[in-house]
Amino acid sequence: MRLRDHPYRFGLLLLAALGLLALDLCQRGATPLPPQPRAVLGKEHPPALPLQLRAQGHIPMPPDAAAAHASALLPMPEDSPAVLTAFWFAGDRESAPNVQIAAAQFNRASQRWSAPRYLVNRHAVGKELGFGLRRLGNPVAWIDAHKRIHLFVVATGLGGWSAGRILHLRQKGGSQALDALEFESLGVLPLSWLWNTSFLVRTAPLPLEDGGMLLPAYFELGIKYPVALRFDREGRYVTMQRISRRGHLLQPALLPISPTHWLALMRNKASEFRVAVAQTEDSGESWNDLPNLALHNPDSSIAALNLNAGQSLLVLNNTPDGRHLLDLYQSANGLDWQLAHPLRHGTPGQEFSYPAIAWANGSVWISYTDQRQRIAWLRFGPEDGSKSR
Amino acid sequence: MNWAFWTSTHASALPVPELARLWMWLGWSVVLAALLLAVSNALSGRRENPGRPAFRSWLGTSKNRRERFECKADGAQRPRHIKEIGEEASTAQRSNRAAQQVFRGAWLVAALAVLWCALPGTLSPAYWLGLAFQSPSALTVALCLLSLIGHLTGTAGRETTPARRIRPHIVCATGLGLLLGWILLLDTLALLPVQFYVLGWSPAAVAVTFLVCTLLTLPGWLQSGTPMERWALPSVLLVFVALRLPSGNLWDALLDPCLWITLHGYALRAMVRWLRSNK
Repeated sequence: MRLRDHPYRFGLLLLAALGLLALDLCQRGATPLPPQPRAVLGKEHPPALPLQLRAQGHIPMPPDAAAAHASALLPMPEDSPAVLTAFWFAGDRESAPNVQIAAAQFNRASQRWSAPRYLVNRHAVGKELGFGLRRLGNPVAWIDAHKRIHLFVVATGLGGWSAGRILHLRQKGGSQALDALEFESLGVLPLSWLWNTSFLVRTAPLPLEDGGMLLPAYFELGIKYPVALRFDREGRYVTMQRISRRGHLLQPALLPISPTHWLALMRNKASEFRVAVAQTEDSGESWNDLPNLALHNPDSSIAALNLNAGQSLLVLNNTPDGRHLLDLYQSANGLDWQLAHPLRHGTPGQEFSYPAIAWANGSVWISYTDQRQRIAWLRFGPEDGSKSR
Repeated sequence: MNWAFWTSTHASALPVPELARLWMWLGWSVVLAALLLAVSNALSGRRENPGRPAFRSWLGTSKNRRERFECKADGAQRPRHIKEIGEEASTAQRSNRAAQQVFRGAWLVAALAVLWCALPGTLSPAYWLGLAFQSPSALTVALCLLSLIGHLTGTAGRETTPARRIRPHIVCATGLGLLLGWILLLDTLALLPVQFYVLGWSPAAVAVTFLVCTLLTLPGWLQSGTPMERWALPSVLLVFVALRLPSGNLWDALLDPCLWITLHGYALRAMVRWLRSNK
């Protein structure tokens, strides 16, 4: 039976296909503009360097949590009673079945941390999503243009940590007070064809001028490569861009040097253990690898923050082996770093790792994992008599 | 021609979260029902093959008794008065009864699978299948649904005979599916020079896929092909365009790793049979 025997069938099929294509095109919006990083300081003046340590301590832990790890700091809006919210995962141990995402807030009035509270439980989220989550970890938080908190959490599927997916949760209700804070699950981000597995998050998002953000993420199953995920001002996933062509880099920390020139500093799993770096000069459209930094990286997470042009901060374990030394570095160009402040110097075998860094309320805030048992914090401010420059 | 628009990899339309959850439950229900039916048929060794490949007979809507499943038995239609005057049941009528039992059994297995998936939380297999594999692709669900409908209406068992009915468009579709899966796997492992998975968000990929699917579906419509040949790909495109299921990415709608692995088995079996038949 040939085509000319049934021209109407062919015509109908073609019309149906064209109709569906037209319907598809109608649903697509305009292509967003290239991303531009938002200044961390806003209208504030940049702080004078070097920064002075103003306060430090430990964030209260949930009473039943023997282990805590991978904290993230979220600066809160100025009208919020809290200066910032810290998120981390806590339970019997890393990847334990009872691990949950905990949070505490630093109160603006009392200048103290609130009692912690568990916010995300894998059983509750699994029930909401309709499918199971084996383990939770690595929370990363961000506030969208409507001042809603978004939480991105690693949720593992079948397999170990490398079989993680990125679970996206959004604040439910209007209150951001910790005791009223609730999240609804939006689902896992569609990032990979292979059962959507092995994309994870760890480092802080880069806020954008349009109200959206770039979320650093990485693939970890065998080959390890970093990516940047773009979200719009509503918190909707937009697209993904690979950062490096090397297959042993993860947990990128994005550092904007100028509106179009950014660096990605990365944890390095290769044998040389130096901080890896890639750069883009076209607002993330394309990336190219640069030679590793002089700083050591013992296969450990790092945190970076750009305060202003010529003022970048980096927290890392600058040791060839072990995570017992944690230091704060500063740089003018993002490539050459000088020690600004030693944070924790322990003995080999101890662990002070997985730092987070944020600017809130005129100070630099740092949190890190202390011996995998607690989350420690520090606050740095400008020198006395020079509040701002 | 605005190439930037056509090649844009921005995920401008994602499925509604509630719909994605419903799809996961419904999708795995259909897949599980089809698998259970296939297994139960294989175990019982009985395959119903009642007659012509008429689409209407799927739905049981034919007014023509010759096209109704319950009136067919191995292609023989015996006069009804034989039974009415009290004679012993003929071979055809006994066969007809057996087919009806299979038919009822198929409905029972399908209903049980759907009910099992509807159980809450960890009691549902969809909960665990979702944990491991996320949602099935729209094509997997479409193929399973068409197979299921075929079983339930007694028209199954005709389209899965690759040695006997190898047709160029089926070979092309299988080959393209295998190729697409390999490209997506290599892309996931970052072994390709360009990102391919994100192209599944682009209008260009949708347009090309529509063209290819139309060409692959055309022979099925022109030659009165099997329901799978005629309906599988169009239903996938319809589900994708209208609802963006399962993830909003075109590749996830077309192919999932489970289907891709199955395609390898299908292609291998077809090749072996073809080689044997050409000896």
